Amino acid sequence: MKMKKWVLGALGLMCTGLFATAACAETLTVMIGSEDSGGVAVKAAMDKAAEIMGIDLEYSVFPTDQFLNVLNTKGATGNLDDVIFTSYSLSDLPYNEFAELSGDWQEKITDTTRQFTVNPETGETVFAPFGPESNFGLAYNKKVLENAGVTVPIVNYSDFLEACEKIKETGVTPLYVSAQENWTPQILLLTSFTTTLMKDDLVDQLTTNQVKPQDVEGIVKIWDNVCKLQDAGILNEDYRSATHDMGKKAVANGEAAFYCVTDGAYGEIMNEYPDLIDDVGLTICPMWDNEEDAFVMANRSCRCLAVAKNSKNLDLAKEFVNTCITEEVMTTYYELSPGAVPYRDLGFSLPMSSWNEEMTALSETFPTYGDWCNALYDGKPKMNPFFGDFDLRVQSMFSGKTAEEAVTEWYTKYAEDAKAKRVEGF
Amino acid sequence: MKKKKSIYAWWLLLPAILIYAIFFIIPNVAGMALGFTDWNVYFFDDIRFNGLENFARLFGEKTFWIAVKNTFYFAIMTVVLKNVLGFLLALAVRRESRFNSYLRTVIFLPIMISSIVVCIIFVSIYNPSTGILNQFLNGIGLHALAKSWLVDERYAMNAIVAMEVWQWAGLNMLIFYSGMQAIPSEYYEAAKIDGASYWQEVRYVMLPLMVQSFTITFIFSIISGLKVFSQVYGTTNGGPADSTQVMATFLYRSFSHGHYGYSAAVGFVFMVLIMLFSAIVFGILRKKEVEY
Repeated sequence: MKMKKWVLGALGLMCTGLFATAACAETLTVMIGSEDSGGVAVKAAMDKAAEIMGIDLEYSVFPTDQFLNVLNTKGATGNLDDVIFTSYSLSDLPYNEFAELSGDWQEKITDTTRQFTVNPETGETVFAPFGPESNFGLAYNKKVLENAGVTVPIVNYSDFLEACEKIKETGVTPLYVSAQENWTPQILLLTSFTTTLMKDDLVDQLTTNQVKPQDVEGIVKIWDNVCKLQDAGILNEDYRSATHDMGKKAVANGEAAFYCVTDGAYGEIMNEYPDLIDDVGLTICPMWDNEEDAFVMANRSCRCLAVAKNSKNLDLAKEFVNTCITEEVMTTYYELSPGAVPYRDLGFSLPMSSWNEEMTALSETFPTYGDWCNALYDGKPKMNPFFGDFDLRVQSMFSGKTAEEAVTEWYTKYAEDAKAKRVEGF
Repeated sequence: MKKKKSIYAWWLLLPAILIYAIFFIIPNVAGMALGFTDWNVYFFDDIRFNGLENFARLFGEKTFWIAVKNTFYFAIMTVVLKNVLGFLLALAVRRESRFNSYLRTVIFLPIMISSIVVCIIFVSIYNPSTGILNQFLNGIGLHALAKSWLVDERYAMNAIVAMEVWQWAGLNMLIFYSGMQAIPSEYYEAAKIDGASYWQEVRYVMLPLMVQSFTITFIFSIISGLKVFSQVYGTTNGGPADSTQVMATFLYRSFSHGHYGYSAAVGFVFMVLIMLFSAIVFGILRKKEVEY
């Protein structure tokens, strides 16, 4: 009798378990960096896709500075999450661990973004572009500039310093730098020194260790221009301890005239200071000496979705990605964070920010990064400056290192990474 | 019979030896071996022997020497300050009273807070423009003393040392306080009869009989000083410009880049350095201990 009770009890528990499992929605794990998870748009859009499919999402959030390493380690050990959301270039990632993706969207990817989506070894599409194509530049406060009689675009470094002096006379901080975080000061160089790299066959020489950047006068000079901003007396006093949030606020409310950002800041300012967003524009960042080096940092990267090849929920994860590239989900994303859509025509329109419009207009006058890559290297991102702690090296110039020291240390680390990747020449 | 006894002892030791071997000896030996390879995240399954390359790279790296210097600086400074402050605090609160027992609790309280939380608090305190430290200094007219504590390479390391001392001096105080309680009152009475002043009692009675307490606090402080990580990671992450880089953050960073072979070499070298330093310090302290 006692035994019978035990058996019935166990059966009951098993049934409850089975029903509970059946009643639970299917779950996908999504790997994401902490910076991205903090943004409203990304999660809101993915949650919308999950809602449409009737599934649950479990986010694995990793600190931004650890994201790449964790992703590569997970890839190497076959432990990737079902879905991966990232803005890193494929050359940094374990792309052979990503599943081939397909959908109506595939043929519509813009030429400038396509380079970021294809496995270079197999030619398979492994990334689905989700977020906008990037625009990096100098955010500016329109009212401050108008008040100081400064017009944009400013096309070289000396004109920029002159403009900053004019702004300073009006009692406003000309340029805001937030060097407490390592990722913001680097934008000053990402938006300006690519021109120097793209000359002749310098990139080829650097990526094969035939030439060191510290030996190239033009490179050291442009790093030095950024370094010397500190001596020019045009920065906010607390630039070493200032944060990105402080920078956005300063440029939005007119405490500062310029602040170097990615266009992701548009959505953030729009959500945090909705009344002030129309006062802020985006322009090129003239850290170069010669006007002919001017260019527009557009199409450098794009936030994409990938699916792990070994995912136990492979079909569901692929379906999730396709659901993300639909009108309802994309609209959720782009309404919160407007930007340049990485597709030619999806059959519906998405909001673009005024910043992207400005940069698109500028790209009619100046070349863009994307144009360069397409023209010179068939669209491939030839040299990835993110190797070698690029961000930390730029930040170190705002903590007392000289431009030459910073460039040397960057390339030393770059070479170590290249050696680990067994790149020829290192 | 003697042989049987010795086998019996080995059987008793076996579980401890096994655990020690699995969790310490084998990983360390494996780590040492990996230090001679190019194992990295990009070629996870294709490990190649690269001789002394990792060690040559390590010793040639400027940041490595900064990290070594900073680690020992942090360890020595915190050992000295935590012990001096802890001892003085113990002296101050050793007399039994309701106020002193309240004070002991207050001084001990920071230990209960997680290190990362302490970092968050101090990042806020040290903020050059909004932090209470600079606001206080400016408020009392000491503008010249208001500094960019964590973002200026000249002050950052000492600012972290001060934070560590604030958090852990209370533990040393407690150990010293227990040590003081353990000294029989007869010794003080005898000293008094001999006409010793208060400070002479402290110097000639209390201090020599408290060497065991000092050994304990030194060991704790040296260990926590040499393995410093969260205090730096949570405040400066090794910056500005590597000026607060310590051995653990250096190791963490190289591991973060996915250079596992190199990281193993870094870990091995650090282990040797720490073992040498600890052996010297413990050797000296052991000789100073007094039985009573």
